[in-house]
Amino acid sequence: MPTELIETEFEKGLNVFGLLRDDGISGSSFIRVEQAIKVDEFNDTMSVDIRNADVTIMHNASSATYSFQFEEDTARGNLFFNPYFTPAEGETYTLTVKAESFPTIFASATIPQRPGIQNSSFSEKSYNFDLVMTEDTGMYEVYLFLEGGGAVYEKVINDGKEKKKLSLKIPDSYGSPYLLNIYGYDPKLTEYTNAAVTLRWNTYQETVTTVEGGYGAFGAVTVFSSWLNP
Amino acid sequence: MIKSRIISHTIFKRFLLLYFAYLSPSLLFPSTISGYVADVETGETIIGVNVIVEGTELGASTDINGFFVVTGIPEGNITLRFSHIAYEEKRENVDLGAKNIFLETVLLVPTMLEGEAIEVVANRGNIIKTETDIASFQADPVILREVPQLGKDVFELVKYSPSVTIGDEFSPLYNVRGSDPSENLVQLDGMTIYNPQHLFGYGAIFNPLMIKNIEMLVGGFDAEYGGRNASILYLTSREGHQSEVHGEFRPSISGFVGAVEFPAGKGTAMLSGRFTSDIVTRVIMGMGNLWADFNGSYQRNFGDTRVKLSAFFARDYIDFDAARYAFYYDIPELRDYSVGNRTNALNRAFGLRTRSILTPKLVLETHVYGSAFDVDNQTFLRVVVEDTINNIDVTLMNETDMQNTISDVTLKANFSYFTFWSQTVKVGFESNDYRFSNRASLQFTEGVKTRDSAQLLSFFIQDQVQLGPLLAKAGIRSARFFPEIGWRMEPRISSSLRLGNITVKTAWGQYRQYLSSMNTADVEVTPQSVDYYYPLKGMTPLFSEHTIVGVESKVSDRLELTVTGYLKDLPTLYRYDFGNTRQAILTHQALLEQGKGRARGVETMLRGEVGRLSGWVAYAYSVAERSFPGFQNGDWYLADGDQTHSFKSLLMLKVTPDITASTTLQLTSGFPKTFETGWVSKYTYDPVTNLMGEFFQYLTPAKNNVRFPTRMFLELGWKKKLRAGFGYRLSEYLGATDSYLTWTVQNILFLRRNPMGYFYIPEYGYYGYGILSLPIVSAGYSIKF
Repeated sequence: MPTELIETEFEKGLNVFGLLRDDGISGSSFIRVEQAIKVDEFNDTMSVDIRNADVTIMHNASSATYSFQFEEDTARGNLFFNPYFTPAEGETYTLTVKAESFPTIFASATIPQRPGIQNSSFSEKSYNFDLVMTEDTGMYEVYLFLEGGGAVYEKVINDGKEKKKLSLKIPDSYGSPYLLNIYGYDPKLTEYTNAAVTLRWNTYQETVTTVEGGYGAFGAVTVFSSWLNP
Repeated sequence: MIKSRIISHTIFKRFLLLYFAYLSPSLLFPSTISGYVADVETGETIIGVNVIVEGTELGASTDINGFFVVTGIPEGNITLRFSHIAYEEKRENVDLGAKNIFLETVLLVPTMLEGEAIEVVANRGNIIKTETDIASFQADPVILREVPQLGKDVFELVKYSPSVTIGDEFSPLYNVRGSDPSENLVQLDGMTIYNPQHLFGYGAIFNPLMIKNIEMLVGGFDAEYGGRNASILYLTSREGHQSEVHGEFRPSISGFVGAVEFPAGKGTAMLSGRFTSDIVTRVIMGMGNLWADFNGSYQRNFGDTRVKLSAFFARDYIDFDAARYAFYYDIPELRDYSVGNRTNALNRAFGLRTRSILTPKLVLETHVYGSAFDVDNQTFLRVVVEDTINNIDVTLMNETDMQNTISDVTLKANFSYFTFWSQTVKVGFESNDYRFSNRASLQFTEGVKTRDSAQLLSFFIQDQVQLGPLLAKAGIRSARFFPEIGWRMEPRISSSLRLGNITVKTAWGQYRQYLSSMNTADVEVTPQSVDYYYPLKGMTPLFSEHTIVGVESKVSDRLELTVTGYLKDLPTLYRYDFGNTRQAILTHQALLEQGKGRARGVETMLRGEVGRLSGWVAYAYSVAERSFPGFQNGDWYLADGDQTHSFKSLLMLKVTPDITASTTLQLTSGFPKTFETGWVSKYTYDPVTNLMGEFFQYLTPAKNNVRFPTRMFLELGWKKKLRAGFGYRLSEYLGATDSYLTWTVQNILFLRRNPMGYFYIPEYGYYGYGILSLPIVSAGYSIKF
């Protein structure tokens, strides 16, 4: 066995993934709550879910507090939901997660402005437009859905410029585009989503977290959707 | 004011007196003899020939160019004696008068010393030579041919130097005395070769059959050298053959290695090449792979000017996916997985070098070359498993895509003036015109593409004086990294004092480096195999200060013991902050964090020959540490590549005139590595379906928090000149002069595992695994013509 050089203790904590989704659909936001575990606690059958956590989201401007309840969702896994919660563009929300014998988690997120496009046009086998970028958005994921199945995908990192010209090339074997979806991620979720994970053991990796008091991420996604008529 | 002026005058007079005293021997004995020494058969210049003026204590050794200069010779008829262990001694009478004479080329006849180890290992030079440099490691490339377990790889040989450590068994990169791999400079015929290693364990990109000389400076190097702070590996290619076609060829089922030397017009030429492509993985498993390198050189004399053209080309391509090996996997929860890399690398260099004897005391060297390197290295991981608790499939994907291009057009020139009392003054300049193109992409982000250019202009002056048993060197290098303003000085001094059989050596110097490289070892899915260079424009250059003290002692005529201690201060180092995920939108420079390092160590080496046995045994103690303010509270931690203790030996035994047996042993401290404390889920999100997934991620609060167990590698080699059998007859049929059979046995200590890593298995605990489980026996065949 290796010799220990630096005393390195396991830090117990909750691990959360909180997603605020601004798509106009009530209850589409969710929180997942788990715990970090020691390496030698791992086994194939154990669950890291924390089901009895106290999960709340507060609207900072109004101090209105929404309680999220645990639900077993076979499609999305075990999550905390509030069917009446609908985040609003430009507003900031604070997440609090409490669970017995764990430090409390705090995190905040601001819903980015809904993505916009300008100067859209079709040319032969491509769809072109200017993506309007705003400071409160760290990353855009662009999906151009095509008839007959399939989609063209592009990830755009906000580099501080106001606009970015995009030209989505449509593969020959696919049909015409019919739907454009653009998802805007707030900077914290962008940071967490893009953090490298190599899965190489015995290799140092900085743990990227956007929450205080534990592990994981709390962030926001806003959705732009447009039907197209080429 | 008056008093100080008087003191100044007094000092000035004393200085003049001393200067006159210093100068007077040259006035009394003004003559100088210089020239080249070469092999009478091949015409190739010989390194390390002792040139003595008989009846005096005056003398010199031929340098890397086979060139010698003896100064301060009394006028009249003298006899020069040329001696070298592998050549017949030669005497040459010279009527010197009061003139300086350039002898042009003195030819020596090779000799063979039957039964002695030297016959094998030092046909044209010593096993390892120490010159005046305080910290050099020189090895005759003959070792690469005689010790088959080195795999004919220069870097494998270099790793048997006590100054060299490694941080990963699979990475070709190496560390010298606690510095980072990107601080090593590798030059072929004076041309900088960027990323001089083949990818993934295929070693150096230099064909051993074309190498004439290997010299590695591991610290305290002269002002003549710049650009890197840790080491300079200086390789010289062969010069060709002046009268016949000669060469060597080694076929194998996956490629070939070959080299040929021949006369070309009024000059000589050499061509060499290696090509490897694993047929099994390429054809059967559909994974493209290619490793190739080619060299050429042409040399010709124009009067007193030697011109050498050198060309180099290397190409690597790998499309590796471990999933294609995994036909035996049967894990129901594993829906799909893919892990590997797609890498394209291209290396090329072309240079023209001249060496002109302007007068017997004055030499002008010029060199112009272009060197470029391109790489696109994608590493990827895609795992889809069934989450049996939540009854969903989750996918984890990770990708790195590093692209780097560096090109360098260099012009350099220097004058060497051999004055009196064996004094040599060298003055020169070097201009490096760089172009860069970089892109670092993680997690499918586009990454920022940057194009950059910079020019490094350097001047140096180096003075070397021999005063009896004392050899002293002082020099200064001044560099400016355009378009920045201001020059930075790098003073360097060293000395060597001979006291009977003991020589005491010291060196101190400051070094700056204006190029750096990302350390991607912790983020790439497969181990880092290349450096990605970028300029430190607008930033403090890497800085290093070396202090070295060493003692050399002759144990016998052919056996030498050296003990060297060093301190290395690294006040400016950089860490690439991959934890800052804004890497997708920031330039390289914006993501660098400045930190510091320190290293210290003691190295001992016993080398030479005893009867039929030759080689060396070495032990080193070393410590290398790093500290970055934004990383682990700025605490010191062990650097990658730190290996506290290392015992290495390379021994060859001349069993019979036709057989050489060899052993190589590495017994070193294990690598510092990062042990996990726990794990958390790393969440993924699909915005289209509004579904999330998760995969595990290790928690690693401290880097290099453990040291792996001691590494032990013992290997045996056997090389036999064939006198009968199919191999012999085949070489005869092909018209070859000699043929050889080699055997190697690797991993002899297989019962003692060398863990590459540990992972935790529930209900078992930590499992340490290695790649080799049983000894490996392999054979090779080569012909020489």
